[in-house]
Amino acid sequence: MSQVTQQSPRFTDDVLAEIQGFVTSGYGHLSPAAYLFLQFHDAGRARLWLRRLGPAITSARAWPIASNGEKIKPTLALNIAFSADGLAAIGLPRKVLNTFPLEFQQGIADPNRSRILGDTEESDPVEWELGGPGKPPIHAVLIVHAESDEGLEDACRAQRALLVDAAGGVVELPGSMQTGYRPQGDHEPFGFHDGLAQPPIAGIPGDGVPTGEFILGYPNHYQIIPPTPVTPADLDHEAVLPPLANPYYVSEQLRDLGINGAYVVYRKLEQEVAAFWQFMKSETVRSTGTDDTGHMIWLASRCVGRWPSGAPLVLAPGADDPQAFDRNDFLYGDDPDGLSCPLGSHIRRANPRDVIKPYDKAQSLSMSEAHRLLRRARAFGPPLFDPALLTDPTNLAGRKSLLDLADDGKERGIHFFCVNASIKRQFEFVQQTWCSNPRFAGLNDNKDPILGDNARTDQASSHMTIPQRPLSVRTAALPRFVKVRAGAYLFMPSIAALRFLAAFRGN
Amino acid sequence: MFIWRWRTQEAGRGVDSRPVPRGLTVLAPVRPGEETRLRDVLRPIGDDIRGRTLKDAAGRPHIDFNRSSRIHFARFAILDDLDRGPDRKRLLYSSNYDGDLDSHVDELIAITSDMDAIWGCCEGYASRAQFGAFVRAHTCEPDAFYIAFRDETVEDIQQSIALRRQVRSLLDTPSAGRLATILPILSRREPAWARVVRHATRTAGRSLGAAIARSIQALPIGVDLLRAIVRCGFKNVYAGTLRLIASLDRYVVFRGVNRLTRNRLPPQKSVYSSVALDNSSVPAPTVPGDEIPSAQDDLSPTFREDVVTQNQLTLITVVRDGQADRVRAVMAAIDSYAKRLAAPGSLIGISTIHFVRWLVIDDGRRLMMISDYDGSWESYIDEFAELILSGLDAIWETSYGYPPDGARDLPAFKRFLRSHQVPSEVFYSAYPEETVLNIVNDRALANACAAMAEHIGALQQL
Repeated sequence: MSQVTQQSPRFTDDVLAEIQGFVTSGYGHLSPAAYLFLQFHDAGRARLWLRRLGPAITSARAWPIASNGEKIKPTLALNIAFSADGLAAIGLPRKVLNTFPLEFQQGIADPNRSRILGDTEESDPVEWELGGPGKPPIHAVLIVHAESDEGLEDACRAQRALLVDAAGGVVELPGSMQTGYRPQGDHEPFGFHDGLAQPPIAGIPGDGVPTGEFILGYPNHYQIIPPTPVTPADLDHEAVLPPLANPYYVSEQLRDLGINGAYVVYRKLEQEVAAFWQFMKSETVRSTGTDDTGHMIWLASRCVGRWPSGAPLVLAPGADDPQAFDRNDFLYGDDPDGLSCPLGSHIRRANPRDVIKPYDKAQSLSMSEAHRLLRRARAFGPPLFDPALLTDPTNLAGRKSLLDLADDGKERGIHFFCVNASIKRQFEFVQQTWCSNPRFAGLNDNKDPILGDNARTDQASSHMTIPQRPLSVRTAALPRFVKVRAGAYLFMPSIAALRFLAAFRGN
Repeated sequence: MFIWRWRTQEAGRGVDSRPVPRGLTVLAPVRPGEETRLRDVLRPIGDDIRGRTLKDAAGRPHIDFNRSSRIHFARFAILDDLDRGPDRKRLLYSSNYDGDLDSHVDELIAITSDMDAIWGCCEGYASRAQFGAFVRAHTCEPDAFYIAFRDETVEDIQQSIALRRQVRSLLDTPSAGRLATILPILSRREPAWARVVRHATRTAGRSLGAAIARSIQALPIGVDLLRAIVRCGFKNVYAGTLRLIASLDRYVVFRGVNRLTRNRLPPQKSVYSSVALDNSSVPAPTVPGDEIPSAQDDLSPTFREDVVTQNQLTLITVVRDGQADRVRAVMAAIDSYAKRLAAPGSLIGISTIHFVRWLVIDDGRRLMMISDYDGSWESYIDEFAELILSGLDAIWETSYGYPPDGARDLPAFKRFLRSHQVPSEVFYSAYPEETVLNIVNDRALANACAAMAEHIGALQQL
């Protein structure tokens, strides 16, 4: 189909100023993050609040360059996204909401979505802290990134003051605030270097995956501009939105509410770190008869597809290679059967690159491109152990501590955020068709050991299968190491759409 | 230990050495006023299969598919029958089975507790004794029929699954570790060069054999072509075939034809999708005689084709006036390819279809597609769009309601399909956990075991 990377005209600053900065940047330099979950009680006052908030929202405008040639990075970033319930609560009429995709209208906790996502058992939305049925609905999420913890606190204080001014029109869900941070060396709680495979966006600034895969209103992988949410022109009486350019509907006096916006998925993923390493230990004992920590790390790396340092298994099949910690320039063509990196490993599912069985390289690359996600994650909770011991083979005493790793009762994991243009075709597809598929790549009973809906009572057990010469080995039934604790399907509007939401002629 | 009793299944084996699975499509008008009763009978049968219990809970009619040994896939669906009247319906029964029609009919009667409760709702059905004649009178012949594995019976596939499970559980035991240490020693007894030579000669012999077999298999294409030209006219065959292959440049032979005839996809009319902007609206029939669309997508429980392993699709569209022969020509080309050239488990690169057939029905007024496939509906259609774009256009561009930019406008194409899809009341699969790719792998394992058993005669003396 389309070229795997697409050359796009570089986006002008005017356009970038319309896109929220969260879409184009992971704010790597701003480690601490806070997520404020809001509910609208009064549409009029909520719109007034939004009008005051609007100018503070961080856009994707290029960072200015100082006289010494360095970028002047912002010390604070503020972004906002809305759920379908939130758009309704702020007064958007049904006919406008109907132009949003069905999965967004239904929301992440809808039984249809849970079936697709495998949100069952402990991950069932009924059990969630936030965003599930029976809990107050999430209407909007305010995403704050700051340079320091103090900066974050100041920013949250300022936002809460603004909420007080809204006089009950907008409230923060009690006890809902979440915080996260960028861990040392980007090691997520299991101890693995994370967040390495981010797709570049075409046009921002150079070549990349077609813009329309992440930002609404641009050609996507299929070289088509899919429909964006629209509003009748009479609602947009201040004319802040551009007219809908779609020639099929040009006569209908519609305005483009979606252009330069994006869909954002939020999932609070709690990681059972002790259970993860205990499983690696018991499997090591079962298969080797010893409690060799090196083998535990080897096995865990087979599940992930990278070594703890981040070195991809296809580039370093035998042993961890800290030199290759950030390598993302690899393909699976030389490892079609998964002898270096198992077919069932997490990273081969989340992005199968050039090997999607049984297709050829070009087809596989193209199919992979159609299902990419921009990840915007932050960790939460204190690390259970120092991940440095995983990458240091000389630290024998430290490694021994892995054997007795016990749960400390604290919750830890990742605030998973991803940006895409179609939740159904991108996020849900990857979760369902690749991660939770026990038959992925011709495998039998092997779901993603990290993100799959393993250990379901209503399904066959799932086993990590590791191809090897002369015989493949597989683990005992995989437990679920990652539980979903909260979630939301969100729309992150453009800056113009934010102005519209604050000012449209509502009831 | 387990016993190997596996036939060799090399690619070079003759085409008709084993019976090819067959397809049956029965379309029978439902007696006026009987629709609700029929649905009430069928729906619990379908629910039973989904729950895989098949218990005769309350003495209601049921079909004990688990007792069948020759049915690959089966489904019942209730279609509109607008040519007979605005409120009329017809019953679709579709199956893929091993053996001949008579024994399939006998098996169906044997596993159905109450034939009259289902078929008695249809016009022309008299009794189970005359069911065979009734089926023959209401059978539609497919215009194109693709079978992923022309040489695999239900029994073969289920045996391969059982073998794989046995081998897997053997490998899961601690003694597998010892086996893993013995195997390399065994293979070291043969010098490395000898292994390379043996492997090379075997592969060369096999691919030469396969090439010859494929050429022989492909010979009847000429006959197919002549027959299609006589039936559908040269112009339709020529234009239809070119349309099919316009996006298939990745195949050398098609690329050659496309270059010679300057055949390519027509320019895109617009970069914007033409799909309806309101995602909650129920699509309206595009033309009189169009199936009345069921409620949209996953807002209703009507369509649940989001299971990762296997799903089904029944699609019925109205062919534009005067285009019936064009559709038939396209179908003839697909049929010929599927029968003569398609490699096991792959239809022009698509490896998620177990069975698919197209039928031009109602004197050329409608086109019906019946498919049993792997993966969710979304991923199935995405894969089509990725691999056989022009093929989709060739198949459906002659139907009313097809989007202006065809399948390239994927959102509009998906809506076109959804609005012409009929939900199935009953869907049965004999191996519901098995993808086409799994079957390919299981075949390879079964072949390897058979070859091993042949070569290690010494085991007989152990």
